[in-house]
Amino acid sequence: MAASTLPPTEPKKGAADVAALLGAFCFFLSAIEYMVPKPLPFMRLGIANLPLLLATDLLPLPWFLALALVKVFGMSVISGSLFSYVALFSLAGTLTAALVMWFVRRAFGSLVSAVGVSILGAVISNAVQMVIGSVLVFGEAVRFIAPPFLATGLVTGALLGVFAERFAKRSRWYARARRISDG
Amino acid sequence: MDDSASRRSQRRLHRRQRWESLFSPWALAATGAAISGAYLFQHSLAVRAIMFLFFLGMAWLAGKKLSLVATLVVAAGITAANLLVPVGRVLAVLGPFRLTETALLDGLGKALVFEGLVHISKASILPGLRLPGRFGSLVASAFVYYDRIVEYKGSLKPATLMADADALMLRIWDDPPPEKESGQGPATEAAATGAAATGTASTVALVAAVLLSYLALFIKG
Repeated sequence: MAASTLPPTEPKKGAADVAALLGAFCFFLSAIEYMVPKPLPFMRLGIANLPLLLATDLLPLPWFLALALVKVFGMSVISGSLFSYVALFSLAGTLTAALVMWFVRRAFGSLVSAVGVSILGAVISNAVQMVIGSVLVFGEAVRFIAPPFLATGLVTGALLGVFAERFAKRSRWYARARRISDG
Repeated sequence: MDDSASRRSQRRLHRRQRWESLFSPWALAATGAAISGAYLFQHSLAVRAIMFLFFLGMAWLAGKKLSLVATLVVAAGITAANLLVPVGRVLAVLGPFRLTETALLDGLGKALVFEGLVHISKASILPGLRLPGRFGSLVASAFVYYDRIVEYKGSLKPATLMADADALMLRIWDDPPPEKESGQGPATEAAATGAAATGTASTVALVAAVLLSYLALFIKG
């Protein structure tokens, strides 16, 4: 992902500020997603992963993982699901997807587009959630639920990737945050 | 919003404020965590169902948004998914589908655990819950930014979403830094006025709830 305009000076902002702002957008997108009806409570469109996708090029690994944890904790507090399986699904799916997205982005750079990174993250997140779901909730019946769940991840992952790619090219905020990450 | 919906919302807000004034966030969260453990280890379906109703009542008292329809739909979905793989004595045959006893009980048990934990969380997680350390500061900053997003969200229009989102991010980014403000967790009136200390009666109630949830593990059935 490339930023379009060169930013002006950026005093007193750092990776923590970028992580906090993107974390806040995770909460906001999660709140929007919370309003969308769905057949299973942890079956999400994944739009709250958009800030994580944008952050792959902006944050070093420790801050990136901190952002992922902020997302899970904050979303769990807002939705009141901190002690439930929903939080466990979210934690496992988010952390695995975050690690995969960050390493793929850093290892392959522009060889893998934001769409590819996003699809990979979404499908892996859903796959991990299905594995946990098979142990805790669905048992063997997970084989009936997994195909539509994974297909949903494929579609939403692609759409989010397209949005992230375009946003990164046009956004003035992203350009400024990118300048911070480039030092 | 019509009058009755508005009144319901007011009553719910009132319950929420009262609940938040009774307990400190950490005491309530610790109680929720402890009860979650007991609930997970509870194997009696009947006791689990009773505990679930109790948690539902607590979440209602906490002034959280509840949807019985959504709860029932999710529980039915989990139970139905478990019935797809027949296990145990056949109770009924509907065409190619066999309704089996073990699968049904397993499904009901899992649905109760799933929904019960959600309602424990709803009742025990208060907006004023603060985490210590650097991670806690990061979460607090994120919530301050979140409050600003909620404040400015009206500027987001579907037709110009990308440009509006960018403008919103720039506006929030250029506001004074979050350290100037306080708070972690979404803002509510009770959170804004400061977290409550847990009084003696409230402490006794929390300890009693934990003890009862563990004593219930000894009930056979």
